[in-house]
Amino acid sequence: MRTRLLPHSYKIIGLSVFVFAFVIPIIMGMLHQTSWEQTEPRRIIANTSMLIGLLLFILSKEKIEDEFINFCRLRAFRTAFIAGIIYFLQDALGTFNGNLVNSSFGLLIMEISVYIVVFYISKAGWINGK
Amino acid sequence: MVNNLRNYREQQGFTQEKLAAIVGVSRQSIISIEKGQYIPTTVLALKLASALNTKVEALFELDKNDWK
Repeated sequence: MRTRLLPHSYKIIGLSVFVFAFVIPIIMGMLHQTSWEQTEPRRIIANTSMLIGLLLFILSKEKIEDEFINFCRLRAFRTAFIAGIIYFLQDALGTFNGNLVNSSFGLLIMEISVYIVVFYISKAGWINGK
Repeated sequence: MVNNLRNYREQQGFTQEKLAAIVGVSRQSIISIEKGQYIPTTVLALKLASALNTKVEALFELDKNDWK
């Protein structure tokens, strides 16, 4: 099965975008003694950049692509999807405060984080694949 | 599923890395198959059998639990 993904080098690009989007608001906040993310456009830019960075990271190829990697990828997508539904349900039932931007950003970051964790522990063979 | 891949690989004197290179997968894939953590597709099973000069049935056998 052929999978259409970005070249492996996009992993580094994606990670760099994520780190910059994560670190710059913190540094700017330290410099200005206030949260750089206080204004809405800046917060949206930082959040979107983080998501784009992580998306590039997860949609790029591994060094060696084979059926086992595809298997790990599918398992990670499945787990992330289910985790997303559970997150949404607990959010809707409990802590949902009507802030859709925050809520959807949190949901997506959580889903991508679950994807990355499950993918790499599957790849390392720490989960039984049967 | 009973998995004899490791035995056949060692009989042939292949390392996991060498076998992985022959069949075109990562070493981690061979490790996962040998540990029984991953069941290969038919294509990969046939490639493994071919690389180890044996038949697929010799590498992988059905277990009692597979019929449940």
